[in-house]
Amino acid sequence: MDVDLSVIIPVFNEEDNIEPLEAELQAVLETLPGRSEVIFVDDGSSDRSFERLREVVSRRDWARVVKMKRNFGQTQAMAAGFDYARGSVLICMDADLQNDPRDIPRLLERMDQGFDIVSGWRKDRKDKFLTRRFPSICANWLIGRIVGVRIHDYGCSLKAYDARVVKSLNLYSDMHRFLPALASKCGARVTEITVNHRARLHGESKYGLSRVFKVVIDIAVIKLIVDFAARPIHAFGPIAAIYMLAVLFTLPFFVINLAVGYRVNVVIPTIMVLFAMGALYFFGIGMLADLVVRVGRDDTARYARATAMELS
Amino acid sequence: MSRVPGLQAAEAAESTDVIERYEFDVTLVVVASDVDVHLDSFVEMIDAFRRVFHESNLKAEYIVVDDGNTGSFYDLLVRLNREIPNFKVIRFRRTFGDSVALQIATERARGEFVITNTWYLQVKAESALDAIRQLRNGADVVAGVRCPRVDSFVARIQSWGFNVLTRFLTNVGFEDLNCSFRAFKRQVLSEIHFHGDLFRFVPVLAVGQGFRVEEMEVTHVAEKGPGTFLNFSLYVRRFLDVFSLFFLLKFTKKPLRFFGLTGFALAFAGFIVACFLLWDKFFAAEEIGMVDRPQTVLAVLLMVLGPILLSIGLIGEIIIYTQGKGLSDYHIDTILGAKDEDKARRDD
Repeated sequence: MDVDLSVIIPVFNEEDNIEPLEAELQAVLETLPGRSEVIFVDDGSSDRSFERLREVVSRRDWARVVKMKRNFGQTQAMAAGFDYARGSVLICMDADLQNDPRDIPRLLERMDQGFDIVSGWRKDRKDKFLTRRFPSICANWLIGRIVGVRIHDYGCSLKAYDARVVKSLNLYSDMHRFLPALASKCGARVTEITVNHRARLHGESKYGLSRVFKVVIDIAVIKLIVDFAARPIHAFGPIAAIYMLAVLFTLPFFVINLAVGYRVNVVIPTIMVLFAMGALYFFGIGMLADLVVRVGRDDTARYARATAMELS
Repeated sequence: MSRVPGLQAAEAAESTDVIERYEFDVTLVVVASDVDVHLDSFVEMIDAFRRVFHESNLKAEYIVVDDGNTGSFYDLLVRLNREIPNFKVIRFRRTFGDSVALQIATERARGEFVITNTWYLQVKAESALDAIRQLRNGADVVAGVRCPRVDSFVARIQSWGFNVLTRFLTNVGFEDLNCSFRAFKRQVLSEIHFHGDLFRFVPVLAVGQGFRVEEMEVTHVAEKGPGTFLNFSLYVRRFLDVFSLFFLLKFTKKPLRFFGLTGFALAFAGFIVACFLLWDKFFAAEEIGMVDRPQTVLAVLLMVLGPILLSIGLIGEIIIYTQGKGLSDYHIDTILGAKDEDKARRDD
């Protein structure tokens, strides 16, 4: 069945928000040309969310529900939604009513202008400054700097994706935040528009400061993948070179000590060997990584294949 | 959608008009290794289960995997294969272990429920009925707990230590992971992936995938496995098994979170030590040369070791990124709304 638009909404303990969300979605979807579907992914909610969603499905033709076996996390919920979606454009949003479905037509409009990913930017964000907005600003700045895709709001869930693009990407761990970065590395065109953001009415936020460490690690990984996934030796090689330089730096001390020392120093040769070990190790691991990449799959090629136009 | 096995299974389960037909009610899977000369015990076990299944009118199938036994065990199996209806035999060329055997047997099983047992009567055969009852009441996996234990005190201590360690590292507690008596819905068993020595952790893996796993006390009758008393290499192997399980459950898709923190901490410690040494050399009242102190070796060692650990995590991430497409890390329970495609079409 052809569907033009799939809206994917991960739901985790949002029983009070589902009915208002349904009404808002209905109001928006009515106005859209083409056929739309909404996929609610119930990520192991422990409240009555699933019952509410069941009611929505019975009322609305456009609604579908994918219930996860247990709580797997937002990325996994999104991945399930992506796998199940049939639309050619996929829009993700939160179920907490902080995102506004009325932004959907504007996202679609921008997609029509030839972009592969349109990210929402909560310019006027209604969250606590210290625990939510400030860490987010830092993270966005850092991600933008390191990855090179400067969008203001990586954390905003409301984003539109070309289905061919996300389906050629591998979504795992907590990587949903970095989809624009990963996609842009493969050649996707990424842009952003400002979206409406509303304060939370029902339920509780599922995020806290605890994820800072995870995000930092993830940024390192994304950096590695974006810049070096094709040739990891280019990442590991320079580190090996630094250790090699350290060896060269210690070498004269060693020679001088041997030549003129009244007793042989143990420390110098020891650290020289350690540095040399590091150099060899990083060289080896770079080769190993290259090997792994060469037998693995190639996202860029997949993306190129998925989006190529052919005339024949 | 075809790349997500769990999704397909859920879809099949959702379309209720196509209920999967099972040829048998229950499949008894027995992986037999080291049977040796105890052929009587094997026959006794098969007879006990046959009686139980017969009395409660369950249509049963038996799959015995001959996991590299020597001697006349295979002749016995050939004879039983002729005498007992639906008694199937899989013979391995050499010992391949429980995990491989169970996987191959599962592929062949045609019963709605799969019950695994040892090659001798470890627990009372009547337990099978209780287990099936629990599966019908909604459990996906039933794990047996031998109680009261009849094996030796040393064996019990070992078993206890193993279970405590597993609970500590995985946060999923089971009383008796060494009990071979387990019952599964077949559909569920084919969705759990295990390899190597992970066989004994199947209940833990099932919990990790979101299945409903219940424990059930079973009456312990005998213990005839190969003696495992104070075997040091076995302890090492078991510990490594538990540790790899811990890693598998927590960090499969994020290896850098595990190696990153340790590696960074080591490198940072090395950096701090180096800073102290530099301070002593350049700013202290009395200059102490760096090459005259063993602390320099420590600093360099840490600064080499930390990045090495980090890089192992990075290698892991590269492997996951480039090879991990097939590993779906979510599992679907139900899909609603998939059936109204016709209705949607009519709306047009």
